[in-house]
Amino acid sequence: MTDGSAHPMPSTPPLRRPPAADARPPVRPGRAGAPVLAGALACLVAAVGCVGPTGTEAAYRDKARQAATSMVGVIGSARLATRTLLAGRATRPFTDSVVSRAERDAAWVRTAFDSRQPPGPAGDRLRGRLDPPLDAAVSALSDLRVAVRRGDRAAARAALHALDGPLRTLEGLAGR
Amino acid sequence: MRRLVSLTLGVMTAIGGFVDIGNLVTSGISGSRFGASLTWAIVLATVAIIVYGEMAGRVAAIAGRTVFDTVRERLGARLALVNLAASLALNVLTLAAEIGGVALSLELASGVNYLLWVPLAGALMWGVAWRVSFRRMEQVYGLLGLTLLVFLAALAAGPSDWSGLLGSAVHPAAPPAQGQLTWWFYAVSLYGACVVPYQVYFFSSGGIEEHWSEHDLSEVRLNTFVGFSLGSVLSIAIMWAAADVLAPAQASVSGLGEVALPAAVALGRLGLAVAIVGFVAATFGAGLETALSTGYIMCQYFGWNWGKMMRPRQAPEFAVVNLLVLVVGTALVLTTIDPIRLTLVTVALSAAALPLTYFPILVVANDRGVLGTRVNGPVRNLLGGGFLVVLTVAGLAALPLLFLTKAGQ
Repeated sequence: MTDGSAHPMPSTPPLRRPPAADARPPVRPGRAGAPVLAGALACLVAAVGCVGPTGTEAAYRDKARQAATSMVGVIGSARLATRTLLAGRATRPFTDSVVSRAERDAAWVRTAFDSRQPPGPAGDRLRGRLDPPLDAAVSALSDLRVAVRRGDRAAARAALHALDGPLRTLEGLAGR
Repeated sequence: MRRLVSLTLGVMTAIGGFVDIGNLVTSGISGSRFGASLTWAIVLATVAIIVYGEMAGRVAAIAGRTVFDTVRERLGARLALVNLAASLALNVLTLAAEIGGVALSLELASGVNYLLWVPLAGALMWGVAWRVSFRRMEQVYGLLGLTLLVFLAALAAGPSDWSGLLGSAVHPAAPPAQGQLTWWFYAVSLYGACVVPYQVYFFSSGGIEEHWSEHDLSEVRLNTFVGFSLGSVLSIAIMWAAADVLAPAQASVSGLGEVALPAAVALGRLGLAVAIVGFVAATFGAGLETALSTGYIMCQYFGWNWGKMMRPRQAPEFAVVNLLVLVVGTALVLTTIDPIRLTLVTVALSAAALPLTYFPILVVANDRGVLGTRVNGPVRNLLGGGFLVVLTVAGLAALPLLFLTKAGQ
């Protein structure tokens, strides 16, 4: 039996009880606080994940490089998972999960980049170079997800092949 | 023989309980992005949790006091209330992340969307916390958590670039393609994930539940020294496996699937299955610890009866808090918030709250009125003081890094 308020404490003074703890109504943790907590957390997660303004060409170039880098990572995960499946070393549900997440991440990267306003003509040109491989990657990842979910190995290989082109372009834009 | 079994299980428990969703995610991401260059953060945090875990265990064994008792006594009721509020918020977020981790792991095994697994994971966690004995609970998830050793096996089985990994580990610096601030964000996150406060709350309260005494000090020390050390080996193995397999493939980590990939690449479907079992065990066990530690700290602050070994009618507030925190945690994941992003935010916030938890432990561990001749010696104080400085610096840096890097993007 353990009693939090009265367990043995040899050679020590008794713990102070919180002032007027007995007089207060009992606290009901989480009941009223849950919506507040969820709201605050949503704000925090949104704050750290939101897309900020890009006022200069340099900042826009940096964001473009970040988008290209992120997309290279997403494609890399999907390719590795699919190749592992095709080699018979992973299960279909597992690969489906990884590729589906990659597809969602890719769509998010594209949306986040496209939501930025290019600051001038140089930004327009950069956007023109980055958008096609981003679009192609998202499309190929969708094809890959469909193929993996159907267990269509030939279609999965074709989708992997379709990712090669955008990947090379994005690697160049990411500075790799 | 019985004592030997107890010691062995204690060590296994510590290993299994050390790794949770925070360790899995931060180790995987760090490995894929920075190679082995952040190994030092895990090593540093492991020594810190060993030093402070041993102090917390000693205080529990000799004085019969839990960490939150010392927090309330040394910080006073008002500041302890701030600590309680922060710990409660962090525990809810951590619990949500752990429930999300269980659900994501089950998605990897089944292909069924993780949101459908979330209510089941929450309900199962409540059922285990309610019905399964403390000892059995620790042993089962501790032992199953050992399946994460599959990442060591994957490193051993694969054509690993050992010289590259070791070179990266002993030359800690951000790779040229990665930002310094992001590297530091993950250093703080790895540190925060290893010394997360709920662990010491659970550890010391569990000690009281198991009636630790001065005779158990050797067991307490073995649990902390060996268990936490081996637990950190698991985290490092996950990081190195990600560095060895994911980084060359330019693969990034945005979920638990990518963290498991090295096991599949090196060991095939069996390795993958074992890794997923390890993920479920680690996140489920950590979820139980988080839920129970929430009940512990609430009851210890307000002076209510508490104890996993007590019947609910003997400690009704404890049972109600456990149930409520599980309901809130489950509801939070069901809002469709991304469990991985939630994990990253939570470990950074945990890092920010560290000094308030660990400072009182250091003070009480030096109090002869509480521990008699068992107070800290100079070496423990040097280590404890040094780590308190590190904890404070990490705590101060955590929030600015979280916002500046947009949670490590």
